[in-house]
Amino acid sequence: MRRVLVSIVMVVLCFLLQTSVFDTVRLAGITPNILIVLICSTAVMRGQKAGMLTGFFSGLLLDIFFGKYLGAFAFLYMIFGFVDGFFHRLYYSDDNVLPLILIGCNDLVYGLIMYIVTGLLHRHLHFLFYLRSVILPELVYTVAVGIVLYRVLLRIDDRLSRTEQGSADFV
Amino acid sequence: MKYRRKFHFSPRMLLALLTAICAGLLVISVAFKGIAKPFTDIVGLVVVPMQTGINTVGSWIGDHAGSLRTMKELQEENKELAAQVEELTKENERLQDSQQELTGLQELLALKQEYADYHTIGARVISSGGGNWYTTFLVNKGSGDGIKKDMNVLAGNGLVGIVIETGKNYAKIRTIIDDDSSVSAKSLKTGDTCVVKGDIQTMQEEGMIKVAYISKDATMMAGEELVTSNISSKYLPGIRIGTASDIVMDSSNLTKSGKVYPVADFQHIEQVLIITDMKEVPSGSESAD
Repeated sequence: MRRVLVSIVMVVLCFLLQTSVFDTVRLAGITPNILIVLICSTAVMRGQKAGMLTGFFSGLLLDIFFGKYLGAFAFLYMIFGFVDGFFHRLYYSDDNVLPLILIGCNDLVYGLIMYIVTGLLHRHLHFLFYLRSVILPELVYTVAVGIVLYRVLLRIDDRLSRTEQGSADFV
Repeated sequence: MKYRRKFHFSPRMLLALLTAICAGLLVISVAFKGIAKPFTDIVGLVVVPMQTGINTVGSWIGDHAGSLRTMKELQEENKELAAQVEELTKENERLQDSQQELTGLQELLALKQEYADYHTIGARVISSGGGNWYTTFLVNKGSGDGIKKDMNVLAGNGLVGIVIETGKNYAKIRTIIDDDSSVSAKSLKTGDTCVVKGDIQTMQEEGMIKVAYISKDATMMAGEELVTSNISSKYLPGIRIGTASDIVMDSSNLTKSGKVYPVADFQHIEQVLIITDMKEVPSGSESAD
């Protein structure tokens, strides 16, 4: 139960961070995608189901606020959680590289999908422009923020696992 | 109990379930536009105060980060500023004189200064479009403060955008640089009409957006001021948009197009003014934008 509460707080917190704080400290006009860091870290540390639920709810929050259609971001982010969850088996908690690689891949895929959706709708086909000025900077920035945020999330996860030990909770 | 049951699901079942929910939501939101409104309102009531709070903290830190400058710098600056104040006071007096003269002359001409007549509400930007792909943002005033859809938004005396959605305590604004935006405009000098179209790409590369559908006979030149036109259905007339540049004949030889350098500074929008007067056109009438 405690874990569910912490997850809800983390989703809301990351949503607020992404839409408010990091928006005021844009680097080169780019905000990092913190929600992807959260989803990816959760999926890798906790497995597919946790990743999917985190992805679903953070996507839903984005949909409610900024999306044109409910369910679009929720679906995309849930798929991220599902796919990243496959790597849960390969993961051990000292491994810092795997989550970061996954975060990078996720953000790249996210950028490409957004390019296809928004780009095609607006008949903007200058792929190299978007790659250079949006997708790649966002990727670098997101991974950089991910290095820090992933550590924080790992700490929180550790603390939760420790308190859960002996209380016969489900893992 | 719920918690326990969730863990009996296999990941694949959960995937199928959530996909079904997403598909359902998509279908519902496509079929009934505005069905998300109640949800948005509820979430808005919870999240917007938090966003406002975070932003206040953010700007407080931003303000105080500057106070670490050394005394010497500040003293020098103070001297400079004192000189500037003197200069400006003089200039202000001179301007007030001319202003009085201007009002007098305007009254004489029975000319109304439309721009100053609009009623406005100030609002603070609390959040942007949640990523790098949108050029919309949220402000901390909403339907509770009298904001309605299609109200015009200004910053720094230039047009910023238009309200596209309101909640009880927030409003979503689409900027004129957004790819979806097009504003019917005219040249202040020659009166030639045109359409200002948002374009994120040219905005990022050159700081300009596009202007199109200028008549081939128009005498509009680079450097001319563009304002919103009278034939727009949503934008009030006479609001400054920007300065035209790079006007060239289209390859069709029927129209000209060019670029506009917007008046508003889209990199640093913090406060905006929302005009509460709305353009009223009979429903069903043809619109230019």
